[in-house]
Amino acid sequence: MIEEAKTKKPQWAMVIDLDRCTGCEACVVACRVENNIPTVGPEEAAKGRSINWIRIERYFEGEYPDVKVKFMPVLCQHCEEAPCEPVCPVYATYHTEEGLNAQVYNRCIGTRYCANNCPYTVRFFNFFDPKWDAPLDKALNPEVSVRSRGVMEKCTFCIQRIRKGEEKAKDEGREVRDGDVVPACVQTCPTRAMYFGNIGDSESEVSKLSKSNRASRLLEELGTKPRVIYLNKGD
Amino acid sequence: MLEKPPTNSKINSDLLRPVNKPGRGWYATVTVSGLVVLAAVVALSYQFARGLGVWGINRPVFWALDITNFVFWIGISHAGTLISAILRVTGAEWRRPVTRCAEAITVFALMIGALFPIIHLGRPWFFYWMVPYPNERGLWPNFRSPLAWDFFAIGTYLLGSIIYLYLPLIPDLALLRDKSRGRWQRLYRTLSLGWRGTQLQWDRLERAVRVMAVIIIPVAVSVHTIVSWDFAMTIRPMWHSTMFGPYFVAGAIFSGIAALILAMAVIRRVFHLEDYLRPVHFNNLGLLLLTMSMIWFYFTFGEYLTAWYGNEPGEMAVFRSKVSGVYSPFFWATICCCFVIPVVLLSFKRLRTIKGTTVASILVIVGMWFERFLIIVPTLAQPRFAFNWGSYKPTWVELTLTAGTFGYFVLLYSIFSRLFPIIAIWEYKEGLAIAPAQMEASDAGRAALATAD
Amino acid sequence: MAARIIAIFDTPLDALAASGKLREAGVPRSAITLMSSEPLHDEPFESEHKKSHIGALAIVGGFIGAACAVLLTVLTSRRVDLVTGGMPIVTPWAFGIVVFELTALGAILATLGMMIYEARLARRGASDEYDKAVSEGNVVLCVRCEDPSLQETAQAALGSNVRGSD
Repeated sequence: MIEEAKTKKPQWAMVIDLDRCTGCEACVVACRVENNIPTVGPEEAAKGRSINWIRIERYFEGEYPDVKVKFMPVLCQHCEEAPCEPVCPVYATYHTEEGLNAQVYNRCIGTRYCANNCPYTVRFFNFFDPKWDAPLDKALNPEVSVRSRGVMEKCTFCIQRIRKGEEKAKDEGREVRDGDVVPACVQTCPTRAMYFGNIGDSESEVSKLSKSNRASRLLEELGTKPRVIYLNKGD
Repeated sequence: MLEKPPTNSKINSDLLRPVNKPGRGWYATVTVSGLVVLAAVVALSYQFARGLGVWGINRPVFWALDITNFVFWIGISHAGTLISAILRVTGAEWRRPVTRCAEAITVFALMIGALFPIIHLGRPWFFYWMVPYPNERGLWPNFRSPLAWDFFAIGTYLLGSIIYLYLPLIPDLALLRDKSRGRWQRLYRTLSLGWRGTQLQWDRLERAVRVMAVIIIPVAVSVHTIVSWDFAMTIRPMWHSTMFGPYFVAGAIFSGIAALILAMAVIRRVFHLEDYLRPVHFNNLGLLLLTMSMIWFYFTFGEYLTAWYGNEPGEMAVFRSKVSGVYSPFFWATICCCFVIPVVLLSFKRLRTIKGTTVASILVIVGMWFERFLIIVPTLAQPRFAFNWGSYKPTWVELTLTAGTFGYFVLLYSIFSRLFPIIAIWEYKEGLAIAPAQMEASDAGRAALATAD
Repeated sequence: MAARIIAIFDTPLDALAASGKLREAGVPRSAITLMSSEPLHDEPFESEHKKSHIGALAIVGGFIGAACAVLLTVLTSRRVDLVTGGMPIVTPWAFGIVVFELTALGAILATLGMMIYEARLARRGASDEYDKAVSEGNVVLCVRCEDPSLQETAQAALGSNVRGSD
């Protein structure tokens, strides 16, 4: 895993502790509020077009009465070798120097090729122009652009908060510290199951947790090198 | 050979009849296909106004009928290349009445196929961002993307096949120039570039056509390979296959020959060209169709056997949905339409008649359309995380657009056969003159050779 | 302005005989043009065409296309300089596909251009040396005579087949 920072820039990563996740979906709600995600309405949702940059995947294991439920929050993994990036014909998605998979809304012409090549199915398309029923239209976050129809979108690790944290650190004349940047989902999680930080900094929480013997990544065998680490005791 | 060349007026009048006196059938065809195209234009305008939500696509089935039609029509466009170029290069003289039919199919099928990368976009008004040109944004297309490869491949093939259609058309354009009047004469005069028929011009023309035939064959192979790589370059189960290149090229040639047979059967009936498009042509093309059917089945069997035998969970989910699940009626219908029935119809000389090959061709065209659908939708509907599995149902917009493509093809082809002779007159006569036995001409054609006119 | 004599014959044999007579009378071969609605394959004039360069120029066109493609892909991807999927900025395998297509395109355009040039198409004055009889299946012979005395010889050699002259 290429975790040493090639530059001195922070390498953002996330850790999700599945043993703490209760599947409450507070992160899902926080994400939509923070990132101006439209609600598509019940008909569109029934067609499979609802947009959830982070979602809780729910799997049932076993037969009654030994049923277990597994909750897995899935969001954009910001893969170091993201399969969605090279297939975009217009460079609307690329890898930043801080390890983020960036989505450039203004450049996207909506071929949806990136969504087809994402093995985690974390990319979403605006089939219609987004709209918010009142009074949600007055609750939009001014720091996040609203996407038009025909454009792809996905989790950005709350890049607006990353920029804010980096600027604050720069103003104070120091490096970004653990805790400077907290995405909306991480901030909201009631069981504190999510962590976010610079995996290039060996003292950061995510860096230490990523070395835990409970740590694994999704679909590692595909070679995408995701930056989201899951902690799971496994039974 | 130094007797009078067979310019007799019968061949001229027969092959120019569609241009001069198209008949009621032609007007009916143009009207009906025009109406279908109009309906498609309405559907398309609605789509541009409202957004891609008016289609049935969703998450995770982000591509469906749009890309099915794209791959299907690019596949049909392989008719011209195989028949015209390969048969020209190998000196098979029976191809002469058939080459222009085939080359025209290629150009129009390509034009239709090339529309879909534009109309399937979320923001189609920015389609030109896929074109490499200097701009103030300092941005260029991403040449690593198979969609960028598509642009170059389809662009080259379209330009190449237009030129390949145009070059042998020049002498016939001169013929039309000499025989027509009024504003049509101006069109033919411009397009024929002052062709006079000097021996130098004939030599250069035939040389250029031969060079074009040699170039266009690898281009055609590369085009459908690159289209297949839109799928094969991804890491989706049952898409990420090394076999897709040859598989798609074989499928394209297969559907292309079927389209050619169907087009020939229709032209033969509508324009009364029974003396020129004879049972032997359908027999030979029918044998080619049979061969391609077996090759297609060979590739399909290989794809499915390796998926099933490997038993990889991601692939097995897609496999099961196609073979025994929700898509199985389409899958087994495809196997019947593309392999079982055509092989029966085409293997026996008694059944390999004009009617028999035409029926087989219609089945193949339908079957191959569904085959494209089956390659695209089941894989997309079953992504790796089962939580995200989905389904797909087309809306009236997509169905109208699909019908519109067929209407558009028929319309363009009808207009072409009205403006230009659909059988290359000079090539046909040249064949009668230099290799009459191989030409398989009718008795009437041979008699025309003998009479001085 | 060279005088042109146009003669119309029923068969290539007749036209060939006439051109033989013209050559005996001293008309240079380059001044005689035979036009037909089919290529006359056995016709001895065929071998007298200068060697064609269509094939060679197709190859040259291919090289030019390839060079353009390499420049386009390498220079622009370096200019944009964005990392995608961990692939290198200059990706030879992927760019090679664009190179292949533009090579073919270069060859195709060169073939078309060279053919139009060598066949002397799309030039003015073509209809001066032409007769519509070609489209009726006749073979038309055209002689360009600058020397008036040669004109008379040519007229005599061609006899009653002469259509008109200017």
